[in-house]
Amino acid sequence: MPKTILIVDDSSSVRQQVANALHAAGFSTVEAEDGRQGAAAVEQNPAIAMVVCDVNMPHMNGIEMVQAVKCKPQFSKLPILMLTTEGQPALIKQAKAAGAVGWMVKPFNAGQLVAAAKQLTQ
Amino acid sequence: MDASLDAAVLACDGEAPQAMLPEPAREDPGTAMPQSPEALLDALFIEAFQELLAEYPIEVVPTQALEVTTPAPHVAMRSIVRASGPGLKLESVLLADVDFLAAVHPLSGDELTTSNLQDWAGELNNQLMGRLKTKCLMRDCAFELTVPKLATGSGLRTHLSRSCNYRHHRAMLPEGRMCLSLAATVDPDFVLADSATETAEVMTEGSFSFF
Repeated sequence: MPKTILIVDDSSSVRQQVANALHAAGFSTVEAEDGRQGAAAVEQNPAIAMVVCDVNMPHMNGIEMVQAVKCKPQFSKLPILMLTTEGQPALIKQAKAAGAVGWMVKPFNAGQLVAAAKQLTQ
Repeated sequence: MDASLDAAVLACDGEAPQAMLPEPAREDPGTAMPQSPEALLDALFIEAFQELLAEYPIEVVPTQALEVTTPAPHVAMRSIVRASGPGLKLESVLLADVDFLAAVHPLSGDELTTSNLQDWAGELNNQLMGRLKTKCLMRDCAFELTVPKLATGSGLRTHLSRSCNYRHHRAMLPEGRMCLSLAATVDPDFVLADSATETAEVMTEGSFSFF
């Protein structure tokens, strides 16, 4: 049974790029266009084993999404990896404090992303 | 997808009067970097763009046009990303024909739709401004980015805010053309260091860290 990874990004091109990389490595994926949809997807799909999440998105940004998800005890161990164009230390600290497990700056390396996904979904 | 765009796409509306042009870059004889914050921001903007699309043989040239308009009936795509921080406001406008966007899209041609290309116009601008932000962070300048605003159509213009002076650049590939514009509004006391300071805290493009 393939592990399911939620991809949250307002860019359909990035979602498709990430999904292609993960599918090639045997993962299945679900997608959300912003943090609000992403938080709802986590609630509705218990099969989600990991989240790859952008930061700058409309409606609810990625850090707010991590906070919304991680404040619920049932998702305290769900790994959330940030994938963003941002490299600002203040944002990275906020994501870490909210409970994200890592930070990757776009453009991403597919091999690195897949290796991280394998490690985080073990 | 409209694949019939020709060299007329992204034609200039006309040359700007000298008084309307942005302040020209001034070179310090001791360094290669321009001195005014606006010129330095523009130089970093172009550097970021060339890094972002480094794998493509793109020629980038400045243009003195007051604004750039896509002529009807050609379809083009525009994205706008704004940024603001202490003493600084930026507006990046990316205006590209569909063939340029298709040529630099990470997915192959068979998978591309008009929606993909419009999305990519926004994501390219987002990644471009992200790179500019990284370069500015290394010069002790921070700002926040907006999500891209997208438009598709003919007769799209780059010059939107009447109060802004834009610096326009044409980016050309054999497959298509693009116009890249940055408007920078800085306070008189705004300072941007001429050289970057390497800091381990700022994560650069392609880097990855587990917490």
